[in-house]
Amino acid sequence: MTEAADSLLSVKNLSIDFGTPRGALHALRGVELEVPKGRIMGLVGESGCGKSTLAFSLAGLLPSNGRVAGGAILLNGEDVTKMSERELRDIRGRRVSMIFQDPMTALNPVATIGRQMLDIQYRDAGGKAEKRRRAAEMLDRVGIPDAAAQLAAYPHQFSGGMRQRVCIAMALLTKPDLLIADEPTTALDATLEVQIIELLRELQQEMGCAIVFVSHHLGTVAELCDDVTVMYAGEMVERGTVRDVFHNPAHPYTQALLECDPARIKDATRQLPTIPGTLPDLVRVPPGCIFRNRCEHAWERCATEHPPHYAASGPRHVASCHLLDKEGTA
Amino acid sequence: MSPLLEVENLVVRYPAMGRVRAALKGAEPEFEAVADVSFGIKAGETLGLVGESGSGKSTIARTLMGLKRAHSGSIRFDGREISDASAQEYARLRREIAMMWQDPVGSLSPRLTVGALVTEPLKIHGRRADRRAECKRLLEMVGLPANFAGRFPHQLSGGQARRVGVARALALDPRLVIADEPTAGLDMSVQAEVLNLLAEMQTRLGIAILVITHNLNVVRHITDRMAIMYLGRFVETGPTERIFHAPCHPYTEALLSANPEPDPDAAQARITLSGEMPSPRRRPEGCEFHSRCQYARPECARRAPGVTEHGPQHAFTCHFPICGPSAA
Amino acid sequence: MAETTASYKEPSALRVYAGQLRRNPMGMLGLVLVLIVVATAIFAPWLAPYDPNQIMLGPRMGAPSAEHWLGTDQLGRDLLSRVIAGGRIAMLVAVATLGAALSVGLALGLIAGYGPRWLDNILLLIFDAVRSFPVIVFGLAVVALVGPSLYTVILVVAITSIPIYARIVRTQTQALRGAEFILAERAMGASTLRILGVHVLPNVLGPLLILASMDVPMVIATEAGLSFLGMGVRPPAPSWGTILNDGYNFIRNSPWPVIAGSAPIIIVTLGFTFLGEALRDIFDPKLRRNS
Repeated sequence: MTEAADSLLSVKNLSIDFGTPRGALHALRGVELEVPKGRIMGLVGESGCGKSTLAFSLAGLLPSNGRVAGGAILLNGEDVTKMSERELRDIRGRRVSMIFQDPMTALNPVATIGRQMLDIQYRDAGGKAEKRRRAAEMLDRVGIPDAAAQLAAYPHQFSGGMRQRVCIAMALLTKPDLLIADEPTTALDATLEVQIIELLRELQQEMGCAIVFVSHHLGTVAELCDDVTVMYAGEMVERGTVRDVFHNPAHPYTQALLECDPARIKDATRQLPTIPGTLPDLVRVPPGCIFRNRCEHAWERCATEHPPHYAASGPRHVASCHLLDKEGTA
Repeated sequence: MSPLLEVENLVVRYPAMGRVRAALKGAEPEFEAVADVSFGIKAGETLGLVGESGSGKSTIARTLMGLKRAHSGSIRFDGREISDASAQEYARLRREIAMMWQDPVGSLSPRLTVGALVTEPLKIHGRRADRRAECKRLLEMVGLPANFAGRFPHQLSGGQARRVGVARALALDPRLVIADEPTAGLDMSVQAEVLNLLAEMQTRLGIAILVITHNLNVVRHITDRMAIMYLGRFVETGPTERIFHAPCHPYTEALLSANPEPDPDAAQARITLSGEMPSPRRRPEGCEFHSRCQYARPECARRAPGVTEHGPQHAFTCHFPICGPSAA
Repeated sequence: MAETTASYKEPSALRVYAGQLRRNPMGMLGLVLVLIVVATAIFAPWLAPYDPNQIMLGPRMGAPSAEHWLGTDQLGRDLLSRVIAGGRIAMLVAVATLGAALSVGLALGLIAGYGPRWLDNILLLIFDAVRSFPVIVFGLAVVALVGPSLYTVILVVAITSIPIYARIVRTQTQALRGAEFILAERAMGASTLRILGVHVLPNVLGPLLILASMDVPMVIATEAGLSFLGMGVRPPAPSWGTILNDGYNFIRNSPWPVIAGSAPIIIVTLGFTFLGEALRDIFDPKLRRNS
């Protein structure tokens, strides 16, 4: 890719396995991801598609039964998958920050917000008073009223929406290059979701960090993100700018996913479109195209040959579907 | 035709603090989770109850099911008053009113097989039916293969567990089904499957459904009428299509705009409400929505708005509605 | 959805559990040890080569030999026979004690956990009162009142174990009480008895049985301890505790009685602990290996 110089995060051919009693579950297979500095990448897909696994692995966080089976995660050119625990700790919270779905479990319930916000600045210069001032400023910035006084409060004294704001404040306090947001609005009510999305966008423009935004909510992704990666059953099936992907979805799965989003269907209907079938078994991954068994366009080639990333409508728009093969037999 | 279920001026209260503490502080020991709510559902009709967490929508469901006592007001089912029904009377009612719970897997008893779960209502009510045949019929009805009868809840996906919940709710041929967040925690494509199933069941069996949800997409496609709740009260009620096209209450408008379609170029008319829903323990003065309303005027903080009728079956509580004078 | 043409035959729960146990080596080892101990206890009169109380003409404090596999004690009694007979007493105490403690604890725990708040408070107070006595001190007090006997041991250990089980059942029941599936059952009109019996009990029984199987060594050790102190089984009846006690008195003469008395306690402890842990893995369906 031409903007390699701008590239902040570059995931190359990443595969991740989980050890299960039935054998290795191939949770991610050959995933490619490119996040330039200061852009917002959406990661969408349904449960079991591996989007959260991917997001966690970007920060070097894998469950104890997970292991990188191949590929690399390059952050500013350094491979996260090869880092020691010590190097990873150095990266987390400084260059990479995370916010999670459940803001309650992400905060320590027995420490005040102020104490936790001071703790994460332990590497930074400045005295305690200076760090407190910075923490209060950040809380104020994310819309916590009476921020300086709230430093003495405990997490349970905040509502869910406010807690997520606190988490965002903590994540951005160290001015990271990359913010990983794993379904940060899923646990929130609709009117609060709007607030958090708006806040993220404002802060991103202000601080210029890149964001990897994991969500199953297509409307939110369309609103917040610049680029989007669609995942299915552990593979990246389509990637491009939000406009390209949502206006001209090239992969049948993306098309189906967009079609069954009820927010798109303006007229009342009692027969909503669905995606029939179920996810394939990821312990014994079938050959060929992973979406084949649920795809209405599938043909012989899909059963045998795994589709590479073909170019689609836009310049950086790619999708893994043989239908896009211009030179081939199609 | 008189409604199957008729709720009038329902008030449900929860204790806010211990009675001794309340007496010492001179405060009210209870707060109103549901405050003066009235609605009706006709046979074969679907009503959507929409609100965010803390709006009191789930409390209404629990009160209808007799799991929580009403403080005042009346609930009539098929003409009979049931808000003060005895345990025996409720036992009979539970054959006619069934409930689908929010958590698809968590609402299924974990040690029972699917077969035992869907026939559980028959056992509870002592129906001497061929349970094996009934189980087969119910699973078939909700589109699950018969071999699922031997599975345990933790072996089901969310969508499959939801189908089991539907089958169980329909086991006794109820006349009213209360569905609390029927699509919560499900993927988009599975959501659509569940909604299609509910719609199909209703068409086939002619049951009335009360859908309780925060998700407007759910309401749009399967309900005839909807009611928007805020702080335990209805702020707008009316035919679903009408409200979607021309909402009157600013809160309804904000909720609708918070449900964006996946199109980066769609008119981004998102309305961001400031702040969060206040606690029902400390209700704002005047219009209870004024603290978050972008159109609020000084009057809203002083005087609570009454109910304004706006065309057929459409009503709202707002001093300055956004839909203009009654069109109908 | 996976389509299976043949009608699905549900394997019996027992077979599923057995299959899972077979795949767990430590659990299998535990099971084998437990089975050996239980079988020995049941068939003790036939397995023991001599009468455990018969005083031999042979050597006293004898080392193991072809005639006396574990040697003889200070009175010349065959140690192997005494260990086997002691195992019978130990298992009897364990079964009686845990059976009583489990059933009473289960009932009280369900009542405390699902019943009204005031009843819960009263029961908790009683549980705490009982637990506040150290087992041995409580045992000594009871022995002082009714005199030492096997039944005293059973009574003491059972009474002091009831609160442990009851508290666990109570906590689990309370957690389940607000669970959505219990609400769902209530909304369907299930009676309290049905809810407790069909929906709560199976969910608290698993952890309880596991705990009980891990408690078997504790009970046996308590019996041995009380007998060691002369407060339990009366001589000449053989108990692992009395064998140990006798052995310690003559340890300078021969280590064999101590070994013979302590080895079975170690075997029982390991066996029931391994088995208990394996059972925990099997009975907790969320940890169960399945698709």
